[in-house]
Amino acid sequence: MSFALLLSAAWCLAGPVPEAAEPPVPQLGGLERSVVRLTNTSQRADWEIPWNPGRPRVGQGSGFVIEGGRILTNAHVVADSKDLVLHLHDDANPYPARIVAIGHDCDLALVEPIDPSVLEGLTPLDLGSFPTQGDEVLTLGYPAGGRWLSTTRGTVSRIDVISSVHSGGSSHLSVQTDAAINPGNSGGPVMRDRQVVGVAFQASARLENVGYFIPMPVVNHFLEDVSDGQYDGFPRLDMFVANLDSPAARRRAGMEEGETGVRIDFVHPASPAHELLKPEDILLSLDGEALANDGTFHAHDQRLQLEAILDRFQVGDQVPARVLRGGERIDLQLPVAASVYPGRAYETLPTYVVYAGLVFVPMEREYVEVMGISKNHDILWEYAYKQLDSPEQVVPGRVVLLRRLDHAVNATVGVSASVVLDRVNGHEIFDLKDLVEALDGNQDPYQIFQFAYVDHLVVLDREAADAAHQDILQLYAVTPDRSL
Amino acid sequence: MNLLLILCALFQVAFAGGPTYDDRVVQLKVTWQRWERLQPWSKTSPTLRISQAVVVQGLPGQGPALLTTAQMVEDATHVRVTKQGEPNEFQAKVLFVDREANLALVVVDDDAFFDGLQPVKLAKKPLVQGQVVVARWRDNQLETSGGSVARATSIESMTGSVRHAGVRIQTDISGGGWAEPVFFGGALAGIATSASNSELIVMPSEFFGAWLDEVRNSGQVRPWPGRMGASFQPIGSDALASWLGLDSPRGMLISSVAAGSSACGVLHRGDVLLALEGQALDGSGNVRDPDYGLLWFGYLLSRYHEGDTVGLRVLRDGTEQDLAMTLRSYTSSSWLVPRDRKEPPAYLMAGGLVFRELDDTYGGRSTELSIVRQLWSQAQSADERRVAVLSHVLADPYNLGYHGFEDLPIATVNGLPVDLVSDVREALQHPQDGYHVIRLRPNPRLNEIVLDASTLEATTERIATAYGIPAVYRAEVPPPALGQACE
Repeated sequence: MSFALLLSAAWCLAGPVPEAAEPPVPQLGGLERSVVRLTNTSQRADWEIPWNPGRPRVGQGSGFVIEGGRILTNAHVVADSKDLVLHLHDDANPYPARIVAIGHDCDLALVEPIDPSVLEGLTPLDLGSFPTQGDEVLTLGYPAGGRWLSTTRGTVSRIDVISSVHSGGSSHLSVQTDAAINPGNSGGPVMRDRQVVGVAFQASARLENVGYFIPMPVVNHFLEDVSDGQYDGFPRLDMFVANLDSPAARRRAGMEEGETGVRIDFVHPASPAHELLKPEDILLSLDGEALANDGTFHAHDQRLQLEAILDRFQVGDQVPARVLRGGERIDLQLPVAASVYPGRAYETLPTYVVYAGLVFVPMEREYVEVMGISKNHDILWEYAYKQLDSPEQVVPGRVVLLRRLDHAVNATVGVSASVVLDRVNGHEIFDLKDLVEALDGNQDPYQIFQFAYVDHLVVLDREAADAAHQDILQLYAVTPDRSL
Repeated sequence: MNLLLILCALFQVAFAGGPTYDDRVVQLKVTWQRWERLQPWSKTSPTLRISQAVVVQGLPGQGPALLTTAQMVEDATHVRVTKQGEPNEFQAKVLFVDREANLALVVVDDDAFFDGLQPVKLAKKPLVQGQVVVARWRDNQLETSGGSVARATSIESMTGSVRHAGVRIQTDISGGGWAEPVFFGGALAGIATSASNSELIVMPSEFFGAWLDEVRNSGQVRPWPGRMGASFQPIGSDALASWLGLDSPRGMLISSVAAGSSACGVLHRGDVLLALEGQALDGSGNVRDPDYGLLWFGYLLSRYHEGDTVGLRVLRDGTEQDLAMTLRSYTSSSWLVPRDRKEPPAYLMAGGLVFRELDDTYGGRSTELSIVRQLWSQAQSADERRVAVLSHVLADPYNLGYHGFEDLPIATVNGLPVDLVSDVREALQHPQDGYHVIRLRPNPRLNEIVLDASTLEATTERIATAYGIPAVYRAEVPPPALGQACE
């Protein structure tokens, strides 16, 4: 039975196309040759064992040729790269490639073949415009499940500002599609007609048929940013705002009937706008766009979060803003810079100091994630909340005991992991340099460590600790004992 | 018939030779109810708790009484007892409860209940080893299980802060820990206060025996010292010991001392506590008890009450010295986030905003609350006695804009600092230019809540009716007077 069914099905498919059929999606006419496969050997350090360079991994992604002999892809496709290989459609040869520019906040990167002639004969893809909800789009790339080019079709499902997984929280204008986007699709073009409308970059792990691409406004911002050979990143104001859905809050703030905006609750002291924007200000508009009471503005026939306004500007620009302060409406020009809140760290090695088996690290994002803030409220407080609660108590930096490499010399110190270092030999410690100075410059018979919050004192016999130091490094294969 | 029963009992003891338990152990049935966390004006669904009690001699001039743990009568709305597997329940009432020590005395008005029952004998010696019998009523039958003493331990009261010596018993009883009596050689040697896996944690008779004596003699128990009020660091290493000027690692280094505690004004940060009442502390803070072996020294305080003086030996500034510490009652009610509360939770509903005081019965998932709990739960100060919390918001057009906010600690209301629910209520009497302004402790979501002051009262009434809230305010039991600050 199945044999007969198969035959008839094959016949149907091979049959003549009825004349009344919908016109097919325009064929790519060779443009698919400009969609490439990238094989990246990456090596990512291990912040749990910071002296370990990490295990090399091989990953695959997609990219496409644009003007200027460059290939546009995702930052996460080529991040932490030690070696990059380019494969072309219908070409079995591997071509070495290199990174030209990488933007981790927007998850975009530019790469090029080491031999520029590799791209000769390939047509750069046209960069198109912003799509409309319901538009039909094609996704091209090299997803898992095979070596050759794959094409999936879908529609523009939703337009939103979402945060990118790769950056660890940076939010930008994004487009959701139901065209299948799987691992390996990353960096491939999403096309409408014969033009690129975005770069596929991530999918929802929880939901079905929910993939996202980076639309042209964000792509163009990245390309403009790197045109001077340097990547500065997307500008941010680094502020916390509160919704003003409460009529009482609006009236008390002196807003007129029908006037809308959000209240500034906090501006990071390191934000260039810090001097201009004050807590309690009501932010009425940004770049001429009226802000609603929930912080959204009108764009693409819908509401979008205000980050999409900031994405129009480059670092160093000034963003026109209107605020209500003390009953007056004031126009401001807000200088903007890349966010002071660190994203995930890439292409960097962890810094650390090991002394007598005590592993000290700076209180930085990757370490904080490794230690876990759900258990370590002292670190959560120091890292995130203290600046909101008591900015006057914020110190330039903090050093944390990451872990202890057990050894007789430190076996009885009583603290093991994830505690904030306060002082060493009486000196306040803000960074690893302070720590090294306090340890190396000490001639007393003891090395004395004081930890904050746990209120714990660790005393080591200096000579015994110095003597055990090399043993511990060998025993636990720590090389070198410090990386500043 | 009563006579017959007694005769039978005597007969059994005399001729069967083995001890009897069914005339000393009774079943306690307690209906209990707690206050709802999110609706502190309502109680949870009533639940039955079945546990055990033992017959003891009552107060002078009164009939026998029943001894159980305070935990078993916690939140009781109705208490009754049954004996010897008989179906009829006798009404009982809690005569005396000591949550700090986790003990309670229950009495039965109907003297007939005690017919055929007799008081237990308390074991004379501490239970430190050997075979025991654990008894409880189940399905009208007395169930006895064998057990053996596994090891000594120090036990902190399940309902308070008294810490005393006790034992863990390895037994095959399943689902124990409900005040089952533990007999050794026919005498009551302990009461199970909790269980973990196949181990019962047992309060020994020497602890509750002394407690019973005191209750019988004076009709009350003098306040317990609770905790000393100092935080300690072990002195585990030679390096730390020699840096402190000690010949070897021993004693506990004082890291901090809490205001109003026994240690306040006696011990100072940097002191090393070497001994308490002549018992030397090792570098982990343990002392060697002649009966129980090595135990955390804190259990020694269970032998004293408020007003007693204990001798301390400390190392201060390189020299050993003896100090006298007069014990004060310092319990978790002196903490910023109190524990072990029994009073109904204080709350205020105003304009749909539900305010509560943070304590250990308050759940709450917000990061802001976890930080307070983890870092400062014991850090009460004159500026901050308690933490007032916006528990949640009962949605209404009046509080539009604040729906969904929950578990946020509050800094000020109308510019006034608020620690207690009553402070919030008082501060709401002082609107600012027609508005109530509630400042939250810093968080990334919301700094400030603004409400229209002119309609607050009427709105509160309307919301109370709409959501079925019988009373919009319940005052707190104020925290104990803050003792003097100490070094």
